[in-house]
Amino acid sequence: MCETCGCGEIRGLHEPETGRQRIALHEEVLSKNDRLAERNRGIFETTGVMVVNLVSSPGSGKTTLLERTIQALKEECAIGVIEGDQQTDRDSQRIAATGVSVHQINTLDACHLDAHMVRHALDSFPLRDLDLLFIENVGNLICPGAFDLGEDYRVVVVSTTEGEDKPLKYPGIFLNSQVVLVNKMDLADVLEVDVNQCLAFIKKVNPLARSLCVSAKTGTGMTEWYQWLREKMQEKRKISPLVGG
Amino acid sequence: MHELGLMQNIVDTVLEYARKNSVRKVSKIVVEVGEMSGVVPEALEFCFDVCIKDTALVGAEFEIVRVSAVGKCRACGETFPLLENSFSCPTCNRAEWDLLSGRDLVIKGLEVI
Repeated sequence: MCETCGCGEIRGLHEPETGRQRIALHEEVLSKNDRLAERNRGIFETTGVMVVNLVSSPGSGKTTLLERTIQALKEECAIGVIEGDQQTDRDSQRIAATGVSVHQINTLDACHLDAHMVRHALDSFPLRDLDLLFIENVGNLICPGAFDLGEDYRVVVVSTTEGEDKPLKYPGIFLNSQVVLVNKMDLADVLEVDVNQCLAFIKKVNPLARSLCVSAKTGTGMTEWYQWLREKMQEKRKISPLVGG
Repeated sequence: MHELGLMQNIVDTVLEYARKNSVRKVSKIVVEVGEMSGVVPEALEFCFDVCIKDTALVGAEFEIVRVSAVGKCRACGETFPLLENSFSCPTCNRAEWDLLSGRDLVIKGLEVI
């Protein structure tokens, strides 16, 4: 109801001199995506699959990281991968070669995955049989940060080739991620990158994030990453009504 | 560059509201853009004219209210703008804080005739 004269159904204030009326909406622009993400989260909760949303700039090594991770873990758990790229199925071909189930989303003109695209991709997987689902987002350090997909954890990959200061320059995506993988550690010396500085910047932007230094190419530091995944999968299984108990 | 899709969401929401509430004419749309929302205000503004083309919103103004990213220090309780202080508390210099504002992208309100 109008707060000035009590007319009508719309809450707001009259400005009689202009004939204009102000209406307060407070509507989250991403509320539709957030609602769909909550639905995805419900599906993941029921089926007990642990879901990781992998984000980074293009070329940080997400696909190589996944290939190595899958090779290391595929004997002990069932893995699925959703691949997001603007064009081509090159990444999903690489993942398919490791023997796990994969679904490619081509976003065409979109620069990120959203909860709706992921919901449709889920139909390609026997989710109840999976322990771990990776969603490799479109390579972009800005836009994917705004879109909740319903994942359990968001993991940022930042590579030594990008320099030390990406966390400060693109804080948004680091802000609500739980793990940061500093990749391409095998190149750190050649590039003369100050990795400790990069770690300090990550801590500055997100004091609660866990940072791990890895090389998906040589395998350095990967054991700790696998251990983190194992722990989180176990936690997820315990709380799932279909799997745990 | 996801601002086009977001702007389309904004326009759809406002049109839907106007239809349901029998609003004759929307003269202004006010949107809050947080510093950490991942949205470039200029890009959003640029998309406005494209999205309102051939809709009842032609002629409406679009106003962006920028919202600073503000953190509350976990150690001393000070609230401070994060970017200006490079994510460290200006009082005690600690870098552990909780985000109070700055992530949101919200249609704050409308002006209607």
